[in-house]
Amino acid sequence: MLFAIKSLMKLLQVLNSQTAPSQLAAGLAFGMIVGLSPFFAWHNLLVFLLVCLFRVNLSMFLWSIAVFSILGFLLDPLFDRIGYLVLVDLQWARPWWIWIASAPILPYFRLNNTVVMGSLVFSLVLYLPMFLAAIYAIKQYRSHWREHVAKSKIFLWLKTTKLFGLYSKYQNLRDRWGHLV
Amino acid sequence: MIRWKVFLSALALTTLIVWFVSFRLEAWLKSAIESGVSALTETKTEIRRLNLSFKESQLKIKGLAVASKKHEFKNLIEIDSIVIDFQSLPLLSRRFVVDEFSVEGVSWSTDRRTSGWLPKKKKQKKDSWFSKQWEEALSALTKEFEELPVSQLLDYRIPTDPAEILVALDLRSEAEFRSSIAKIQESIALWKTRGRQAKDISDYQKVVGQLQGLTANIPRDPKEIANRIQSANQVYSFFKAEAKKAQDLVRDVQQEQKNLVELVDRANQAVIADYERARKSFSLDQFSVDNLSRMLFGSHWVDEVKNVLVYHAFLRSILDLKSDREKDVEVRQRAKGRDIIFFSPKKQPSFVLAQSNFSVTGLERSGDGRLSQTYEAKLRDVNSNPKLYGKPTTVDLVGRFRSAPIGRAHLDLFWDYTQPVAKDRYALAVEKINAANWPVGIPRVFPLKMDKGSADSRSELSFNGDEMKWTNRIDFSQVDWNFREVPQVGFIVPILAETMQKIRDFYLEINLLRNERGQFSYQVRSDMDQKLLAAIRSVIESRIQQLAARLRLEINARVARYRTEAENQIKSYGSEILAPAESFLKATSAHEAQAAAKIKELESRARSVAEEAVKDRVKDAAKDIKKSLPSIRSPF
Repeated sequence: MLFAIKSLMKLLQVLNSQTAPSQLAAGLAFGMIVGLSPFFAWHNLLVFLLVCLFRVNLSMFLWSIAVFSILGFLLDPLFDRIGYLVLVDLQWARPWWIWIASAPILPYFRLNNTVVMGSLVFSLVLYLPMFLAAIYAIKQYRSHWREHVAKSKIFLWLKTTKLFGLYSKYQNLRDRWGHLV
Repeated sequence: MIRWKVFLSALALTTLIVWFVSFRLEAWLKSAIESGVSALTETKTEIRRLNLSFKESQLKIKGLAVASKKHEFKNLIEIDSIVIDFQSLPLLSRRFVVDEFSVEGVSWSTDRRTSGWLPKKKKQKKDSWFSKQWEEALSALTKEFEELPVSQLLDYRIPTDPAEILVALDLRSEAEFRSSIAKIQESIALWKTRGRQAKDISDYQKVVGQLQGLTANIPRDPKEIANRIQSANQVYSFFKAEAKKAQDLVRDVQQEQKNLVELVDRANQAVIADYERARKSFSLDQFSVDNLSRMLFGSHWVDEVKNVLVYHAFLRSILDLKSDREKDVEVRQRAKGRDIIFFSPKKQPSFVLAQSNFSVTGLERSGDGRLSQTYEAKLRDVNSNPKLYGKPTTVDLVGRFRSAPIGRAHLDLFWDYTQPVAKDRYALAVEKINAANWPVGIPRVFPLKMDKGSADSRSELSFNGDEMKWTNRIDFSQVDWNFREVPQVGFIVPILAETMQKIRDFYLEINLLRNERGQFSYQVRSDMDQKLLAAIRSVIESRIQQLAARLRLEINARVARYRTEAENQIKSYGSEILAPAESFLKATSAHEAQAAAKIKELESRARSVAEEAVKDRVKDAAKDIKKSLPSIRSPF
């Protein structure tokens, strides 16, 4: 519970900070790719390197992985179908898959697995729409909703809960010791 | 825009992770092999050391021990060293191509310090790759062996006391005799009553007296005689009617007697029927165990069958993939999703061992450490995807043993999964098997063992699609049976033991067939079946014959009193009913004849009187004519 509150607060902090919406949106979109795919797929390592290479918000990236992992678990049957469609039914793409299956290193990416391929295709297709939609949504939030959220009953109630008190104490302690360290 | 610092540090971290993973690869591989083999054998599998060298392209496995499923502190097999020389480059394409494969130091049934059993898992009901039909067929067989005629060996008995059988039988012949006696008595009483109601004999005397009177002092007057004749005719008619009645009576009495005799005959037939029924209650047909070898050897083989079929089904589940031929792909089910394998000229199986010849020596650990086993193996075209590889696989393994339960074993494996219809063939010939290790007997009921002797076994198992044919022939020789644990219960078991003691050489044929429709048959045959059955039957038959003779006597003794009584009653009927009726008939017939004679006498008398009267009248008439005639002179 503390973790959930912490994550929620962190998310709000990030949203309320001066971080560029594109960095947050990229974190969300990259997190979606990793979250929807089986975790130990090798392409996730490439995504992680890309996240490190570009200015992508890591908090949003990790938060996105957590949320989309749950969604990915539920969407496995759909990914299986999409993967089968892409790997088997799309005859024109067959040479690509055969090449990937025979080329060095690439077979380790297990792209011949329906769930891996399905989730990757699904997340890549949604990457750009998700990226653009997230930029728009963050901008909208900052211009119209930030104040409403800060004054909203739920947010105020959340701030009065014991758990939030505990979180505040933890945060203060962390800041103090963090400085010392 | 680009965070080089972060990227480089992440890249360094990733490289570090990859290096660490490759450094830990041996541990991971060791754990993967151990858990993989454990999943297959359902026991603990341990590897002492595993070395993977990409430089030398070699994988060395030292001290592989697979625990036994039957004995907790024993290993099924222990291998000192396995060396696999592989090609490095195909690894980049996720292929494991083996150039050379060798095994050293194989030992069987070695001791373990710790338990080799895995914690018991709660069985989950899930679709097994072991065919449901097979499971059903084998569980039906197991059930058959649990329920079957085994009980007959203990429970089958022939009663010694005939009275015991007759009590349960409720003799019908007794009732039949009692009923016939009652009916005879009833009939005698009835006929006696009717006899008393018949005409008194004194009436006949009176009529006879009258008849006598008619022939005494016969008058000369014809009229008078005619009256007497008329009276005599009346007497005759009376006796004739009485004689007719007597005849009817005798006929009825005789018919009744015939019926009563038939009743007694029926009772006698019931005696025979009772005997037959009693005989059936302990007939030899009840002992339907005509395939004793199936009982003695069959159940043990079923366990082996299950193991072999499970492994075969496992092999098929790996090699005979579900294919989508129209799309030129094969689909392999995974825990997450499905792996699609594409058919293409470039595509090769992920594991290939094209050719390997090696020999292995084994030491008897529990013995004096001498070299006691040698194995020669020839592996050809072992691969993980035969349809991609395109060639059938053959394995030829010869093992020679000096102080092991078997002398020599030759295993010849062939499997062709390159075509849509998979074909497998396995031939195993084992010589000089120590018969003491061959499982035999029926637990608790007939737990016999073989102490000495040897067996040569030939086994051929072939699969063609879903069809299966498994034939086994085992020739036992110089077998010494051990009956020490066999309980001496009932009388079949001792006979069996006594007969088997004499059978030292025999063969055993075990055939297991399954046709394409999934119909399954399991046959166990042996030449000992006939010998055992003949011995058991001869003893049973002689006992049955003895009992049958005693039973016949017992039944006869039980009904003897009633039978004598019935026969006496029939005799009484003859003397008291039939004899008087016949004498009555005799008397009436005699009187009738007498009346007829009297009538004749009277008629004769009447005739003579009439003749005399006619003569007198003619004489008188002649006198009158003489007087009235003119006198005629004679010319002379």
